[in-house]
Amino acid sequence: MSLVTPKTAGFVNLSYCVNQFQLDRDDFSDRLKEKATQYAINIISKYNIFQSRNVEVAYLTIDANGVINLTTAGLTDYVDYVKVGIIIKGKLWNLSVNNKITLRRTEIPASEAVDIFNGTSRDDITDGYYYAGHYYNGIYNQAVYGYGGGFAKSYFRYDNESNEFQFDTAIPTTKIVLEYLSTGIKLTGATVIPRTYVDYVVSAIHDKFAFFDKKLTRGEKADFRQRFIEEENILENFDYKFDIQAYLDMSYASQHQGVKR
Amino acid sequence: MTKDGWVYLVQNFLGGGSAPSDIRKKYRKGIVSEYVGMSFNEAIVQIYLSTHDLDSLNSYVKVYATCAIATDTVWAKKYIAIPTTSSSKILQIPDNKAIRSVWLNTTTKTRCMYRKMDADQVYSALEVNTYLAEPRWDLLGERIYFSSHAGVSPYDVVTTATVKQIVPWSEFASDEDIQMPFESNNALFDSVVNKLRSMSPQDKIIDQNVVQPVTK
Repeated sequence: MSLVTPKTAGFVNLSYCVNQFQLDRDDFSDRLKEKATQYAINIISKYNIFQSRNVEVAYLTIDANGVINLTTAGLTDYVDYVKVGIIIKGKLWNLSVNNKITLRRTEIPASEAVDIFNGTSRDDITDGYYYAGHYYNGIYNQAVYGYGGGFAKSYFRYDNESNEFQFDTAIPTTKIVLEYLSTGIKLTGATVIPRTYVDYVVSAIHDKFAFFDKKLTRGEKADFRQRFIEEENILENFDYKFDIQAYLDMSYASQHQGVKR
Repeated sequence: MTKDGWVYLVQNFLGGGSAPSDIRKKYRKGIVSEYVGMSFNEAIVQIYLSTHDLDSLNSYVKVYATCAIATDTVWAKKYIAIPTTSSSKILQIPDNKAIRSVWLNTTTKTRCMYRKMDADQVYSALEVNTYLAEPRWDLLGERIYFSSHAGVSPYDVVTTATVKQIVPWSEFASDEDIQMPFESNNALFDSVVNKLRSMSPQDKIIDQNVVQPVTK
């Protein structure tokens, strides 16, 4: 590592890809900028949702009605939840989903669940579910684990129509930890993507423009599509390179019967 | 060559023996200038259509640095009038590219992005509207409207704007030097002559009540 000689950044903004696209086309006017940027946003969202499974973590506070509204909370990039946990005395407890179905799992009495959330019992569990690495309060939390769900009265339900989480009354109205599937797009204008994505995004914008360009022949369109597929393969091979960590994760999951990803 | 120089060149040709007899010695300076202008504007647009290279037209760009921003009460939008003062306001280059750029005169000058008229409705429903904060402009008639996009509001206090525009022939002063499109001299000249031939010379117009060509 050298701090003396500046290197190109490992992470770039979305607008970098759009500029690269304009460079390819030799068109430096601002006429295509909005269109190309929207395509870039679509492409990154799609890749994050369907291929790379971009998981993020948010800390949210339950209101007096046991509800967290994601729209009000400003969680615009939310696609689907992965886990919901609640912090009690520095320990993270995962909550279960209850879509009006009786959950036949290990249950403990409601009174004991209340005790847990009051921090008076059952804090001796040592196993847990892993949360994706994330920043909170300026500190990178790499090893956060939540205790398993399945207690009585510790349920939550996601209300799709109103974009809200509804929590059971037994759960104290404190801060919860939500691990969720994200589009990866920050609409504050500062979406940062790894440099490995650049060629993929640029080729995808080209492909979109070519696809809807009536003046191009099928052969020319196919060329753009071919390049896009090649870039997609390169990126996927890079993202999903099988390494020792993947092997260990797999091995751990099968031995411990924990959560499987 | 100056604008007048071009007009004299055509006039010399029309007055000389090599001009076809039907158009010889029949046109005044004002009329010749109008026709040179029409051919010139056509040539500029043709150059863009055949090359798609705006930079080759940079010698015809003028900068208008203090266009006053007004408010349209009907649309509740800010606008500036197209700064060109002559009769033909704008060259018809596709996507309104004759207007090269529009800037708000903030301390550092804020560049505005072109948006097709009525594209507001589509883009405001997409993420890109939140993602790109630049103010937008579109062209309606003789006015350049700034979009009602949220990005404009910090610039509410700005009173003037700058426009860079590829201007039509009529926008040049008569003693101003105009570069001729390279290799287009002959074509331009022929185009002027052809246009003049298809027009009745003035002394053949019987009805004296018709609107007369402008005399310069």
